[in-house]
Amino acid sequence: MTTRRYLLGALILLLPTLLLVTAINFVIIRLAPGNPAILLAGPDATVAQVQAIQTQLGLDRPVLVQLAIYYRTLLSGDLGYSFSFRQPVAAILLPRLLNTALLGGTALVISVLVGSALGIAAACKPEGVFDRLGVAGSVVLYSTPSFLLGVVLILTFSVTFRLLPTEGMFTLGRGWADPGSLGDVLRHMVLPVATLSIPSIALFARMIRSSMIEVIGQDYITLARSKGLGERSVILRHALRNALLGSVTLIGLAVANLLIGSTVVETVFSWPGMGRLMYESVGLRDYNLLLGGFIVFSLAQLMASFVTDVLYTRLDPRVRY
Amino acid sequence: MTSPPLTRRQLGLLVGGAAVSSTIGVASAAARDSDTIVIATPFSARTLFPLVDQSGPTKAMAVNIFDKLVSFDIDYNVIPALAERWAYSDGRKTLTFHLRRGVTWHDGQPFTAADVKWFFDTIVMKREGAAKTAFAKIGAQPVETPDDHTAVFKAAMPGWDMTLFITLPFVGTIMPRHILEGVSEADLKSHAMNTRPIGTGPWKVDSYAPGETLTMRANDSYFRGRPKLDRMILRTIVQPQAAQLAYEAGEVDGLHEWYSNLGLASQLEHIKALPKTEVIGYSYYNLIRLMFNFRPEAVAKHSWLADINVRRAFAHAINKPALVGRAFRGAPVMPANGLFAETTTWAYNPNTRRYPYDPKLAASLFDAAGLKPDAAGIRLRLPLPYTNGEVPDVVIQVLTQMLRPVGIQLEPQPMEASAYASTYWLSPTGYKDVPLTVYSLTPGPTPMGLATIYESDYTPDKGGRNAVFYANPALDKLLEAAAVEADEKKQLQHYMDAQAVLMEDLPAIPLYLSYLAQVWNRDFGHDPLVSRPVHHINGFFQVWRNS
Repeated sequence: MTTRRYLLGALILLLPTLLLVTAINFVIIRLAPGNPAILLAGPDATVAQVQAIQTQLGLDRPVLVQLAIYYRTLLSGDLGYSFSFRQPVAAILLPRLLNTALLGGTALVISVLVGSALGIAAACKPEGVFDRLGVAGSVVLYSTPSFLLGVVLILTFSVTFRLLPTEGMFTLGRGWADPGSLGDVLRHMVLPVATLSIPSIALFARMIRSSMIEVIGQDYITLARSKGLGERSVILRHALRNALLGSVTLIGLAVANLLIGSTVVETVFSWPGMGRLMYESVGLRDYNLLLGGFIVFSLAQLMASFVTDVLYTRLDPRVRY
Repeated sequence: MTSPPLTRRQLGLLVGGAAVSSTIGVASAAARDSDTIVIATPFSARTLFPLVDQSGPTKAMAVNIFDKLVSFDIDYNVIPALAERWAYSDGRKTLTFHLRRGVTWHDGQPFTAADVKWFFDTIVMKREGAAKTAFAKIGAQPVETPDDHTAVFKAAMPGWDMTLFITLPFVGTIMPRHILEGVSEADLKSHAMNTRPIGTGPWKVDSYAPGETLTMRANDSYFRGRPKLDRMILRTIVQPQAAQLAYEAGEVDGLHEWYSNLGLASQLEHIKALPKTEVIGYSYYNLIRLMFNFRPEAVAKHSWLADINVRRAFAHAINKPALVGRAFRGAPVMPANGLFAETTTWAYNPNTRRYPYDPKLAASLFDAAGLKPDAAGIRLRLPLPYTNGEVPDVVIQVLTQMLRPVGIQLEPQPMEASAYASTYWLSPTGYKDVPLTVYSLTPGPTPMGLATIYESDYTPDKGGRNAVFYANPALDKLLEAAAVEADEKKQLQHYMDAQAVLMEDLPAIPLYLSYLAQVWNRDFGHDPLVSRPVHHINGFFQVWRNS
């Protein structure tokens, strides 16, 4: 009962948290020097023209008034209007959010599955050749910057072997409506997903490995073995379930990492997602679009934490809030 | 560039990747038919409609869709476009354009003088901006249209100049009256012209994903003749390295403005060595300058700004060939010796005052001006804001090293482009007292643009781009005389003289001309017009596949 109440409370807190995060983001964006009106007006604009655009966009009002206006729009379920696209923010974000989710979600699933498998394999024979190589390799892969990794992958698979496309989501001129679009998108996904997931795989593998080693050393595992259970059953049934608990937290963190990583990876691979959109919007000072993006990112992160909490109570009966 | 040896895991991925791609089929480039060209562009335009966005990216896309009354050839001579000929009369107070017959908009409606009249009367001369200022300056009157194919521009003063119709913001994209007449400013932002513009240009928009891909199809009834290819795709790849890789993998056929000053010469050599690759590099009229600030706030704080000998001392302390050589590592970037770009050969004055590299002379000039070195050997510590979008960091680093021996300690402040634009240049609340900056602010390819940057009447508050409030009565007189001169030869002489006055007085020190490179797959041929800076003015019209 109390657990349910806790989760409900967490859910209710989402909205105020989101509003607070929005206020912080709002202030930070405005603190950055730069002015969207100047960029919209173009290099040949006059001061009068810039001021006219500022008035039109409401940027000449005090920041707190602008924030109040923004909240009003937000609470009526609207993310406002993008200066640079001249379209409602929600209409711009949605398709790109789906593209980012496709990339990030796939990378997350692959990271968890492959990372866990590698971690378990390493933990089965700690200090073995595979384990030692894995530990060293994971440090290297985890700390490789994604733009470098992305470029190395492109050079290898696209430029040298010509197996996979270097950029984009579809072959040019194609879209979801064309036949064979799923295969086309999958081919375009391979390299960005690999770039996103390789560091996460390394992270998961290390995490699972260390918690597995810890769990395997415990008495109940010795008991399970002495009962005569097979090694496979001991590892997968008894050890893994407990070892997974720690990595559930990690999945929550991984969502944040993937969202941040998407900015770089989407830029390197020209993937039409949120990350690249945000990156380009910073240069244009498209305040509403940036805030909308931050809200979506924050919401995703908050939801990930919430889901982690729920998963905990499901995976571990001992967890009570 | 060599790929590093593969790690064991990468090798595994290689095998895995190969398996995946063989199951879903390697079809790269198969979807492209032979009559399509794909060009990678660094420009991420969020609208195609120049009336709502006059920034570079939108302009770079729109030149393929719209036309001007007149245009430039490769040497910036004026050539016909929508107007097949033109004539001055009444001592250059009247300019008559004879419009080409049989031109249609992309939706089939005829293009007539009524479009021109509406566009200039209600858009160009009414909207706040440099165009309105320029037209108002000569007392432009509403356009007269004696018939469907004649547009007569009259003004109170002589001063009609073709440059007005080519380089002024959005003047070069004649808009359709039948679509836009009566649309309010507010409605323009959401108008269909943003994504499916109707122009008269060589290419019609097929589909447009803002900031991603612009797919265009040949305009069958284009007045200069149908483009030789069926489709042209402009694909936005913002990162130069990503664009290069897409080219190397054969996914794009050309790179548009790929080098743009920021890459390294070694990268240029690498791409030149690729098979079937043509690299066209060129310096163009974008003049990078060390600019002095003459705003009263700046001069009050740094009185030496007003001292011509100090400005000259700076010039003598800079070794331009060494600056360019060290900063660009052998790429063919041109040092600049005048405040007007020498790439426009017919208007450049080569006989202006030169400032040879002479640090000793520089030091003695500084000494004479009373700027003595302190114990650390430093005469002046000066903040130097710049934007690394326009000027590579390495240029500023080399410049800083160069000025240090004569006792000038620059404190570089790199800024992102939008921060720079609003804090330093146009903003009424900007840093008005910063003594120096390095920036371009190009007068454009013709000398008529000199006024908007150097004439005292063109400060930003009055609608010009003289952001440093430079004022020189002798120069003003020359530029004003040139603006209303009826005789073209005399006009050009005024501009030549103006360049000499500028280099005497040195409101800015010319450093070098921006350098751009295009990369083309040799399967495609192209007119020289699309391979020079004038492509900004003419677009990618003449491109074909070599058989």
